[in-house]
Amino acid sequence: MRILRSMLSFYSSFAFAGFLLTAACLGTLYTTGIAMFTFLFWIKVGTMWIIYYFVDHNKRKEYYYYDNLGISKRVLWIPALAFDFLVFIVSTIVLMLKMNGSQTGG
Amino acid sequence: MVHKLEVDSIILEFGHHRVLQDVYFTSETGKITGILGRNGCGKSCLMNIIYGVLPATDKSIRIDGKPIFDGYRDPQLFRYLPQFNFIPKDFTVRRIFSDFGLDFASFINWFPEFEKFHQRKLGKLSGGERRIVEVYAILAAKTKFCMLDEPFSHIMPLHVEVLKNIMLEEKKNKGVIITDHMHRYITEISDHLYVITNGKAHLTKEADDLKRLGYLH
Repeated sequence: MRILRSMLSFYSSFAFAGFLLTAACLGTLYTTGIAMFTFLFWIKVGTMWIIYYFVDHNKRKEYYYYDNLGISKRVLWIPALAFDFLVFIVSTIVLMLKMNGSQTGG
Repeated sequence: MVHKLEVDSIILEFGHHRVLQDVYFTSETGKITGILGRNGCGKSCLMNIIYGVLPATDKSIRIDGKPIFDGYRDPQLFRYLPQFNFIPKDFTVRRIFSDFGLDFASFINWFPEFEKFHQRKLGKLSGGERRIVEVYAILAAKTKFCMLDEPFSHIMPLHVEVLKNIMLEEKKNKGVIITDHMHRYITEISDHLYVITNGKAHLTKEADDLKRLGYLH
């Protein structure tokens, strides 16, 4: 429970930026079409790396807090980035299915 | 149960500059081990090496004879207070005490004026108040050894005296390793006192040793 709460606290500090970028990618995909997916995929990967770089730098002192609770940097980052990317993938698939459905229906 | 920490063969180099060479010291349950030294002599580096977050050229760290490589991975072995503020500002005092498994009522017995801060975020406290919460969290949490790097920074003398009493109480259950530039506080409470000079840790026996080793004039 303590570990989960710490992971959520850590993720919440940059979740908004991740969601915002996912929303921007989805918006672009919706207006330009599926052909842009590969480009947006790499944009998402690149922005995740940028978020990691800045958050890692800004929170380097706070890692000592989590270390003192037995929670490593890896335990904080891997689930957070995996969840952020999963949200991107799932929402992209849902959007693609809807776009496909509306084209077929029309 | 008494646990013994042995630190030896610590060598730390930055390029061609050797900061620590063949450092040896011990700590054990029921004792406070003080470490003094000039700025840049490697006190904080030494603690970071013991904690496992700073790679050393060579090191040997053992607890009860068993080698320890990454102390930070197990809070039951080590807790570490870095010299800077490390607790996220948006965490409430209540949350911090919950995370470290601490009883707030016991804390209030030591610091009654903190009762009103229970629900308050750490960032809303003054620098000294914030440091007290950080020191207490590390000092009172369950572990075998706790390392405190400059615990008295920003704290007024009245509260330093309280913290010293907490250290004397807590050392019954753990080994305490402490470093600070307020050397009088350190010498008053330490059972063993080391001075790091020229990269080596020297065990001191009397006050004049601090002058002889170049820490005091």
